[in-house]
Amino acid sequence: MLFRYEPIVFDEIFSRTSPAEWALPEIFSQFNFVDRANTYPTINVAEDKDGVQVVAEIPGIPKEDVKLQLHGGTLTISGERKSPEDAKDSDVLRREIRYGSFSRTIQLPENIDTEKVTADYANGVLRIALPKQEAAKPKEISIR
Amino acid sequence: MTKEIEKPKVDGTETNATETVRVIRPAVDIQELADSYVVRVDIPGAEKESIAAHISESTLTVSAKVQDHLQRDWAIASETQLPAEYRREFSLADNVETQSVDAAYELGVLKITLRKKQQFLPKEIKIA
Repeated sequence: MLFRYEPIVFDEIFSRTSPAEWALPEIFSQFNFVDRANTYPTINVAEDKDGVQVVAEIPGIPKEDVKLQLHGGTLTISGERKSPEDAKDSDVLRREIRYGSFSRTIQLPENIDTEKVTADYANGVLRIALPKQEAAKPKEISIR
Repeated sequence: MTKEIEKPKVDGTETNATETVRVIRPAVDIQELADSYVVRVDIPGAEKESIAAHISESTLTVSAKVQDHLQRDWAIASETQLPAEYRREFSLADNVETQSVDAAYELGVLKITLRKKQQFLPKEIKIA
């Protein structure tokens, strides 16, 4: 089983889900409308028999400004979203996009093959594939 | 430019005959420069072709359809379940030139540049 692991208190600044939301997902999921204006960054984590897939929405950040770290059974996505250059000499009429640094850590299952982890980035979406070790995958045994 | 049209948020779902689309209200930045407005909209995961930005009368509508970020057969433990549609509307001030609008999509961010009409720009008057 996967669960969100957020050891750093200030990470909560960027976190959409409050403890109440996390504990009572069935109540909050009734509201199908998602206000992304106050959310950054959002992630999806999924697991199947072959591995774990993490999808993070990090628009506006070139991949050079994103850091991925595997450490002690956790995956940390961190980086910085820089304010655009043309924002400096202008009047701000509305600012909902968050700029600055962020960090998010996810607890991984034990059987991830850390040598085979891959990540790619396109259109503001970061996809990380974490395959499981061969030994951890279910095997079919044929009956003679 | 600053006024946003508030739509009634019933539950965000729009049902047509075949599917329910989840509507996401994206985060936006709006800046005013001397001769233009710059609108930035966070639309991660969209293809350029699926993004639509258009002006009708004095309303700017931005929308984008996005596909499922996850393969459907994965057990999802997620915050963001897709498919979904990003959508937001803005009512434009009188000084916005609606004929020439630039839009560019890069790194999941749509940047729209709206120029101000010529007659609203500051003019320098030469003293004879």
